[in-house]
Amino acid sequence: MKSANFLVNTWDVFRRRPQLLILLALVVVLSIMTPSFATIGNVINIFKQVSVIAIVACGLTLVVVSGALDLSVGSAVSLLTVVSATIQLNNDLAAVLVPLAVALVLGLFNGLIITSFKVNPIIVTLGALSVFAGAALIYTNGAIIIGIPGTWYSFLGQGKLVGVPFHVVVFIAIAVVCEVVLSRTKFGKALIYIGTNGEAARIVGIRTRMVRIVAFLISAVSAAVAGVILSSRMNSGSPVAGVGFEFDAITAIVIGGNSLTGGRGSIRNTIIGVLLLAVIVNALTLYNVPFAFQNITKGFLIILAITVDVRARSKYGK
Amino acid sequence: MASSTTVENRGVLTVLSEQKVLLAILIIGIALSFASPYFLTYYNIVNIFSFMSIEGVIVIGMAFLIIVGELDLSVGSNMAFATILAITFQKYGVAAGVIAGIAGGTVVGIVNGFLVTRLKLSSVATTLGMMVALNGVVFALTQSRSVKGTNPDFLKIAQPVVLNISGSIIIFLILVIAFQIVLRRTYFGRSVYSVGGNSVASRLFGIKVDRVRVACFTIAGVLAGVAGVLLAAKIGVASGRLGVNTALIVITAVLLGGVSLSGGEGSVVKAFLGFLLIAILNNAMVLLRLSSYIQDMIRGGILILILVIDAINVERAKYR
Repeated sequence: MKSANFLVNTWDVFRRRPQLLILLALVVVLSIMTPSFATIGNVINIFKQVSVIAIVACGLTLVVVSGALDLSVGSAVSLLTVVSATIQLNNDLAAVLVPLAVALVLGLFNGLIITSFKVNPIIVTLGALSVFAGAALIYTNGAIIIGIPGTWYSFLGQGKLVGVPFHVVVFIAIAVVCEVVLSRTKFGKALIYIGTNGEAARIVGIRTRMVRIVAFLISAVSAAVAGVILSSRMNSGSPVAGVGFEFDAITAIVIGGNSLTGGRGSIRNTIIGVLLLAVIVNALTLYNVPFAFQNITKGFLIILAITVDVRARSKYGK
Repeated sequence: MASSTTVENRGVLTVLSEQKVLLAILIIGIALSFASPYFLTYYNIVNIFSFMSIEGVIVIGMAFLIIVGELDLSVGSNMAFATILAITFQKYGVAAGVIAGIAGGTVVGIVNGFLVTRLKLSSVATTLGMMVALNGVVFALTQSRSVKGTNPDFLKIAQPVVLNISGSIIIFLILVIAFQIVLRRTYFGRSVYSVGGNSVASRLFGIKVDRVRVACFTIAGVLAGVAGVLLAAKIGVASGRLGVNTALIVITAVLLGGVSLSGGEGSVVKAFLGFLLIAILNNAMVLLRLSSYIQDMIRGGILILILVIDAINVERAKYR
């Protein structure tokens, strides 16, 4: 790997990332079979469909790399999207800033409980899922909040920048930021160390508690961004808008080749996972496969991906 | 870390935490009987048990799994899966419906067990995948609609048998007692504690660790199947929306009963008491006319609260 840095063997890339090979193969096959697939319009369409989930998945990846899991992101999106939608009735700027502030509270809630009491993050965030979902429904009393159209706020979810939807630009920006944070900063390294061996990371002087809390904060903030975009795009806030997002995001993260047990992963993997999932769903839709089978496929993909992950780890002796 | 709970070696904390649930049940019960004259009526108490009888069956299986050190998030989807199977097959007779439902649940449990033990996958991730996949299967089988059951004999399973007590309540209580005996009085039951307490030591002692784990997943699957059949008989309808909150409620109940998430301790009766407390709280929320949104929130909050209390107890036990 050292000597071949610049002569990257394509085969090696594919061997290390079979997901990429599958994604490319699917894209090629679909382009040949359906002429409408490989058009710029359809590509933008796919990106449009995935951007909200992808934003959630990018933030969640940092949590997953640290060896934890956040099941509450979907409910957080629901809560933050209705918060944004109600505030937008009065003030556009506050409709963007307040959800971000609320997200910090939600992330702090998860992070503090998990790190202070050393409790299982999956179960804590399963509880938080219920609390946030309930809060969203109570906040609007189950109703959908209709926003005011035609302000700059609507541009966030509906506007275009040189032909590309603005929320896709946001998604790409967040992906780049998260990738840089994860692979180029001390904080990112710390996340990987903690995911590999939390105790060892603590002993070598990493402030594990702080780092893990920040990961949850980032995950919640990305949920806020997704919530604001969703509210702007739909021009309304639904208290059940984010139901199931956590599963889609986790599915994307896992099938992209990130390890659910932590210590190994990248935003690139997550993006590949998000796109792979989108292309598979797109293909299923193109061939009129009933909606229900999409969930079956997703479930099996999760199990398949974690099997591959465990196999790979035992092979290379992580 | 987790001390074994043999009779002679009972920690003060275990006894206390056991009493805590009973104490909470009593205090809340007394408070409620003052708050609502309706609470202590025979009809309402039967009502509480009727609420418990479906998901309570799953609580038993989840207790086995948590004691052995695993988790199953797919129980809700599995229950819905058994419900649609039971509804589909009850046309061909009561037995066909019952067998189809339980068989479906069992197969899912066995598959979960083999995936976790043979492929050495994490049980949370595996059953998360199973949950999503099964949910799809249920939507496919119901074609995203509500499917109705038509066989009146099948629906009789959930009808009152004696003194307004339905068949499902009786089945539920029998299962609680039976599985408590299995856990406490059999070799298999002791291996469950042993594997949950220390799987490596158990293996060295000659316990077939993976077989015990698969058996626990299978029990959880069978019981999810039974719950699905009972649910099918009770509401007579199957749909993909059933069982969405089940995993959350059931895990909360088992932990609330004082079964530790770290495995190796607890009992079916403890889990039962935990669920009884949830059922009473649920009943209280209904009697006090709280909106269902707040009920969801309170349930999630309770789960987090128990985790925190459990963690503080474990931490204290270390320095005792």
